[in-house]
Amino acid sequence: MFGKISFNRKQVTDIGIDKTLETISQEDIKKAIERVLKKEASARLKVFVETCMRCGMCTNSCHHYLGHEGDPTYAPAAKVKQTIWDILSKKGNVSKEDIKKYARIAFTECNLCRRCVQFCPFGIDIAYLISLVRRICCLIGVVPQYIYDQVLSHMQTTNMLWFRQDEWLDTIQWLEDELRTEIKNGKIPVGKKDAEVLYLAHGLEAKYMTGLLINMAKIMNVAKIDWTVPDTDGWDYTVKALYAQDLETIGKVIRTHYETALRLNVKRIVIGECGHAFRTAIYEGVRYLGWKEPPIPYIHGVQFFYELIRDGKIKIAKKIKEPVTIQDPCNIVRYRGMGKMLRYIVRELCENIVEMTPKDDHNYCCSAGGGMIDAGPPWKSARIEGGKVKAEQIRDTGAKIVIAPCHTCHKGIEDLNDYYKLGVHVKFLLDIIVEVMEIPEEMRA
Amino acid sequence: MLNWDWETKEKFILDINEYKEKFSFIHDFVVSSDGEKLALVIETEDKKLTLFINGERWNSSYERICYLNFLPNNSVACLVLQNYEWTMAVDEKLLEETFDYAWNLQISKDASTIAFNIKKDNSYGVCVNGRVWENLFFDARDLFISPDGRKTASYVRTKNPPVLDIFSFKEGVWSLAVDGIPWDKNFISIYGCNFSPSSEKVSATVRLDQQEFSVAVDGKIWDETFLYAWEPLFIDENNICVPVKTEEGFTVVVNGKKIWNKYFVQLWHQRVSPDKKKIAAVVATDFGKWTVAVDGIPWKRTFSQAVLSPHFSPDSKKVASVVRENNKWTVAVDGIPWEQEFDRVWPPNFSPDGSHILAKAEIEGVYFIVLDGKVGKESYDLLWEPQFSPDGEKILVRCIKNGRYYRKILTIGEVLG
Repeated sequence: MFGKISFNRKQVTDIGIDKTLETISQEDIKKAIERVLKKEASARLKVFVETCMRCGMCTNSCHHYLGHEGDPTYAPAAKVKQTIWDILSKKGNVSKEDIKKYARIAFTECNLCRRCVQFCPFGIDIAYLISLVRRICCLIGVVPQYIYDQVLSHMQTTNMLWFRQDEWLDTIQWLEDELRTEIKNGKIPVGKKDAEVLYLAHGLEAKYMTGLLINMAKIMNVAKIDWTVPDTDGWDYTVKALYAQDLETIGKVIRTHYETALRLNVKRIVIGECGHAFRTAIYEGVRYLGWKEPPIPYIHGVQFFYELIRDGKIKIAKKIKEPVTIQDPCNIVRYRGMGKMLRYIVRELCENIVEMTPKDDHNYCCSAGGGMIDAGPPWKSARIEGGKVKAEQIRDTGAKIVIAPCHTCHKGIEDLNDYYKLGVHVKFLLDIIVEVMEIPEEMRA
Repeated sequence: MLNWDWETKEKFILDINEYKEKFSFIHDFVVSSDGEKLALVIETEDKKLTLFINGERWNSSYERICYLNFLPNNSVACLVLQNYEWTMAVDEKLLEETFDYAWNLQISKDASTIAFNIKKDNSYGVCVNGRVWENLFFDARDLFISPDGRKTASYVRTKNPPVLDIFSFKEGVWSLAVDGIPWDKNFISIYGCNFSPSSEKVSATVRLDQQEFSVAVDGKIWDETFLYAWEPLFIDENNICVPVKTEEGFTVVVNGKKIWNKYFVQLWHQRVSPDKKKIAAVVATDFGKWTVAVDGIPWKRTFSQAVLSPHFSPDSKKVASVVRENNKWTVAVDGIPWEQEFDRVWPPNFSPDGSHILAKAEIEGVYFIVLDGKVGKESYDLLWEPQFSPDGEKILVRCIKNGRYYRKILTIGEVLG
């Protein structure tokens, strides 16, 4: 398999890749490869490279392969062959053109969703191998422009969008004013010490999607949670450095999150509906820093809402009647097994659930994850093409609402909805909970 | 602290229940260090906020009251929003100058300096004792006051390329401004600002490019670069210790040169002993094995979940840290954890002679004083961190029971009963 394969792609310009390549030397490339392969890569690299039998069992598992009508260059093992195996076979003596190709495959043709791992007879973690390719590219600065911009912001501000400190605080304060038009004495505590819960927000929730933050504040107030948000940097739970594999920035951001929690002496961190941030805070980030497990519990929105509903802290007044389907975000379902919790919540909120096929931990990736949506407009068509399978899955359900408890899935499916004309509404759990939950009369403003 | 009342056994200061009944909402409450004062941020009928200090109401009201602090003389400083403009209030007296935004109020140790970050006309800087830095910037993040209170510093953005101009950002847009004057170099990232004990020098860790980190002192970068570096710390005027990552692992360097022979999976929160002779730091000896190392020698006992900043005893002989294992917190002293475990425990506080350790802890939603690992007899609904008297004989307790705030003085024997 994969003897001779032809790599044909549409021309795409991304200055983060193309212009950067003009500025780096062959020596830079060689040094980065040596550092990653000889000093950073774990024994997994050797095991995976030596174990792969080229059996092709992973091929049909990949939505990019399926979305590109069986083009073998999109098969997971082929992506590895065209990148890390190529680097190994050339003993690190690779050209700038090679790097350009590796970057394209690693950043824009693999979502690191790990669906292929489930079909590999040996459990080879292709996402790990592709991450190594990203790491090599990152060390020489060859990263899609739109991802790199966010990483550069994280490096100093720890948030994804160059938000100044006053912008966060001011936003919270006006959101609290808004909250109080609906909830009597509604409060968004800022920098409160010794609270039970530290809530971290998605960067976009503080700027473009403030409705989500207000909805979370409503839930916190109605459920009478003793909570706070940070009064310092560290409020944004996103870690876009994961996509670039800028491990140093991952470390800085994740340490800031946990140390903010420890400084405020809260019992646990709760985040909203986001896949990559949860994965980084539970796996890549903490492990890079030396923790085997998070120093204090780090709770995803799905886990949090599950608790609130199960324990009766929020009560559902009415259920959604329209048919809904469920998107399973890879980073919380395939990586962390939250599929059952997610379905428990949706059953409590909705009357008519039509599952996608396949579902749960075998569901397909939305094609936007792993940094593909963050790679920005130049690469939009790549993820739309890769998302063809997801679009078909959704259409087949006949659902009117797609529940996507992940920012990336949410935006990615919205784009698929536009392109493939699916006629659905994409919603977060948060949207639906606030729509159907009971707000006691005495709490209403 | 010396002139605090260490004699009166118990003072009932305020019944918070009365205020809960009388007013629509209590936003916040803050206690003075000596425990004599309790400030309540109260929302009145007109949706405005005002302060009650030990029951005495301020005449003024505001749209917001933030960063409320007691000064050592028990004056109150806070940032307030009034008529949609931010400024600082000290005992109700407002600064003349107002700002588009003000945050991060900080007070120097001797209270000679009160400073905060400001935004004015879309520029950013620091206001120090009522005077704004002469230079303002595109952004100013965090605030640091020197030990003598005479200098202030903030991370500032000196260039303002548009979002997505990654090549300009990669050249570096961040610097450290001291009293409004930025260093002459920019970096892609700068953090860990630390003043020298005399306040003459200032250091910070800097990211030089995608792969190299170093330390800059007064803007001059060390010759040595590292795979990674955490925050620097002055040992004395001429020596700075920093946890750095090398190809062998994390270790401690002083002025760029390695001083520990050991390497660790992780190393941070280095602390210098009061006699300046020892360095203790939190380390991971292996993946998921956390402990404290003193001068490079780790405690034998490791903890799987977390180890927080080490605290030296005043005589520099002992080290205590908050540790977490099996989802419970406790304090370890020289590597030996207390037997009693807690849902939460706050940083340990050594007595002046180092013979006792005091901490606040939570068990099942109730707060206790813990002395040398033994839980005090009395429980509290709320408790601020207890403090030893200067002679180490007595303990100041600031607590709320049944909605009533008390200031108590206990002897060591009385704590345990």
